[in-house]
Amino acid sequence: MSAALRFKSGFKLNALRTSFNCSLSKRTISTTPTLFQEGANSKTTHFGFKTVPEQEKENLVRGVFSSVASNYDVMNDVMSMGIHRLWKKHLIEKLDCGKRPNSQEPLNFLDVAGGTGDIAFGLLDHARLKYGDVESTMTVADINPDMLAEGEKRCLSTPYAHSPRINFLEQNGEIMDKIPDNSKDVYTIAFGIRNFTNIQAGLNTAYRVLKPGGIFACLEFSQVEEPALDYIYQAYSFSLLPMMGQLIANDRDSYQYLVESIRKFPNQETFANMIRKAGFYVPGKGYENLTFGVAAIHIGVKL
Amino acid sequence: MFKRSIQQIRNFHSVYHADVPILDSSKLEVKLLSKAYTDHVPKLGFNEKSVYEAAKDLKLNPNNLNGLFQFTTPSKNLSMELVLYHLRANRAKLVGYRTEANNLANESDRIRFLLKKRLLDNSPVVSHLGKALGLMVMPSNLGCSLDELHKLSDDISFYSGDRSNDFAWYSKRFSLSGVFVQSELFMLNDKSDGFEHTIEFMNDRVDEVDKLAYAYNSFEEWAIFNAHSTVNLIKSQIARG
Amino acid sequence: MSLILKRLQSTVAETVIKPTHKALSPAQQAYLERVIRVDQAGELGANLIYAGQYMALSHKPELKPILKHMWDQEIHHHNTFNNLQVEHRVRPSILTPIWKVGAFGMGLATGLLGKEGAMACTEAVETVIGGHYNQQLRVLSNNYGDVEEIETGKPSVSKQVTDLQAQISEFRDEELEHLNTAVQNDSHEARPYWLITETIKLTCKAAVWTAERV
Repeated sequence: MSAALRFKSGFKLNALRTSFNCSLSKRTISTTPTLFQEGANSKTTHFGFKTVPEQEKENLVRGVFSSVASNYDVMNDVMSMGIHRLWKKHLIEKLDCGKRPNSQEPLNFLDVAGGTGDIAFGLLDHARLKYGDVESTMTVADINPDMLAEGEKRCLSTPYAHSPRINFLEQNGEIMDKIPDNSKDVYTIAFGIRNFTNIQAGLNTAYRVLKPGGIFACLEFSQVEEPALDYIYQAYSFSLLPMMGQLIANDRDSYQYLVESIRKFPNQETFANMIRKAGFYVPGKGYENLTFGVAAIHIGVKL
Repeated sequence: MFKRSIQQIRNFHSVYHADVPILDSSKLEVKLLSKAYTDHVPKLGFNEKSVYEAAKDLKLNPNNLNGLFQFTTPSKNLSMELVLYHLRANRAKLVGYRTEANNLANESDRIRFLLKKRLLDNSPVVSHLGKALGLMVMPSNLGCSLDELHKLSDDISFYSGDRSNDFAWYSKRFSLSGVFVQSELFMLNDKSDGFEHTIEFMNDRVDEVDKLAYAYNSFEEWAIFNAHSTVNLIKSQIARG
Repeated sequence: MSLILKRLQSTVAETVIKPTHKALSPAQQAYLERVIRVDQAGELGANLIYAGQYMALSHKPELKPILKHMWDQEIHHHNTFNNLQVEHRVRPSILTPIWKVGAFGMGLATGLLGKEGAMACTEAVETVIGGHYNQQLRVLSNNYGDVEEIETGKPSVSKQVTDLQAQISEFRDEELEHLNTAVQNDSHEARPYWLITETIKLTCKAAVWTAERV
C-alpha cells in the first residue's frame, strides 16, 4: 500500500522513521507546500497525518484492522492502559438501555464498527441483567470481515450464541444499505467513527437509520483540553505507543496510524456541531469528557 | 433599581442585554422534566419512573431515554436532574412574586415573604422532599445542589432589594441559605395547616439573622469610632510635644 | 461613619428599560463582572486611603482642601461602582474587610510620614490605577462589538458597554488629575521616594490581581 501513497509533506509511508520524528509537530506537516498533491478535482482525506485520496482510505483502514483483528483487545489495552474497558462499561451503564418490565416494545440496537462485539454483548447483558430483557435485538455492523469473524467467534461463548437476537453484518458505516430508515432505537459506535473516510456521511446515515426518539451514542478518542496534561499525553502517545506496537504486536505502522488518526479527529465542540449538522438534537453541552478528554462520549437524539 | 416586566435573571445582569433564562423550555430535557415534575412527581416521587411516565405522555421511548440525561447534564444522573428541575422551576417562579414583594416596606419583610413563597411552593411534592434532599447531599451531587442553593439565596437577596457592597454580601447569602435549609428540614415533619409552623420557624431564623447583622454593623461603627478617637488622642499628644 | 449610613440607604429611582441586545457570551459576562468587582474594590481602597490621609493631615490648612477635593471624587467613584455592582448582580470581592483595613492603614501611615509621603503614595496608587483603567478600556473597546441587536440582528456595541467605557474613562481622567496634583505637591521630595512608590505600586498590582479573582 505504500507505493500508491503520497503525503502532503512528500514523505513516503515506508519512511516510517522520518514520519515518526516529525509527528509531534504536526503543524509543520500540514503547512508544508503540497508538492505531490492530486489534481484539484480528486477529493482527499486524512489517513493519520497523511493526505490520501478518499477512495484510498477505506482500503488503508481495512488493512490496519485486518492486521490487528486477532489481537485487537491487546492493542486497545496497550493504547489506553486498560482504561478503554472502564470507558465502555461507563457508556453501557449510563446509557442504561433495555426493555423496562412494564413496557411493551423491545429495543433494536445497532452497534457500528463493533466488530469484536464487546459493546454489543455489554449492552445486551446490561438489559438482561438489570431489566430482565430477553427480547431486544442487536445488529453488529462492521466494514471489516476479519473483525466481524473475530466477533462471531467470541459470540459463541456468550448466551447469545446461535440466537436470532444478534446478527453480524458486513456494512460500510457511511452507507449501510442493508439497514432500513427509521428502524433502530439505539446507535452506538465506540472507537470507530475516527476511521470513517467521510465522518459527516456516517453521522447522516446514523440519523437515517434511527427511529424518531432514537439515541446516538459515540465513544471516541478526543482532545485533552488542559494544555499541560495534553503535552504529557502527546508525548506518551507519539513516543511510547508505536514502540509498544512494535514490541507487542510487531506492527508499528498500524499503531502509528492509530495515534495520528486520534490527533486528526475533530475536537469535542467541532464534533458536537457535526452531530447537530446531521440533524440530531444534542442535549446539554453535547459531550462528556472521560479521563480529561482523552476520550469523550457524544450524544445525539433524533427528534 | 431597574425593573423589568418578565425576566429570569442569573449572574451578570444587564438591562441592555437579554437574560439567559433559568430554564429553556424549548429544550427536550426541560419539556420532559417539566411534564414529569407537574404530572407524576407528586404521585411517584423524584425518580426515573416519573420521567418514564412523562416520556410515554410525550410519545418518547422510556427504554432508551437515560442517555439523554446521564452524559451531558451537570449532574449526569436522571433522578438528580429531576430534583434540579424542581429547584430551578421554583426559583424561576420567584420572579413572579417580585411585584407583590415590592409593596412591602422593608428588606427583611420582603425576604420573609419570598422565603415563605418558596417554601410553600414545595407543598405539592413535600412528601417526596426527604428523598430529594437525600439525593442532593450525595457527594457526586453536592456541587450542583450547593450551586442551586447559592443561586436561590442570591435571587432572594436581589429581589428583596439587597444593596450590600462588602462582606455583608456574603454573610447575607450564607445566612439566607442556612435559614432556607433549616426551614426545609423542619418542613419535612410539619403536619400543621398550611405549614404555619414552618413559616413561624423561618421567621424566627430570619429574626436571628437580623440581630446578627445589627450586631455586625454596630461593631463596625464602634471600631471606626475608636479608631477616630485613638488618632485624635495621638495627635493631641504630639501637639503637646 | 458615612460608610455605614450609606449601607442603610435603599431609596433608588426605578426606571424601565427594554433590552436592546442579545445576551453577552459567558466570557464577555465574566470579564464585565471582573471589571466591576476589581474597580469597586479599587475605589473602596482609594476612598479609604484618602480617609486615612485626611485623618492624619487635616490639621494642615494648606492641605485640607486639596485632600478633601480628591477624597470627595473618590467617594463619588466608589458609590458609582457600588451601584454598578448591585445593579449588575456582581459579587463583591470577598476580601473587602482586608482591603478596608489595608487601604485605611496605608493612607494613615503615609499621612503620618508627612505631606510628601502622602503625595508619593497618591502618585504611586494613581499611576497603577490609571494604567489599569486604560487596560480595561482597551479590552472593552475590542471585544464587545459582536453582540447582535434584538430587532435588526446586526452586531453592535450595546449601551451597557459604552456607558461603562464613558464612566471608566471619566474616572481615569480624574485619577490622572490626582496624579498631577500629587506631583505638584512635592511627591518627589518624599524620602525614600523610590522605596515608597515602588512598594506601593507593587502592593496595588498584587491587590488588583487578587481582587479580580476573589
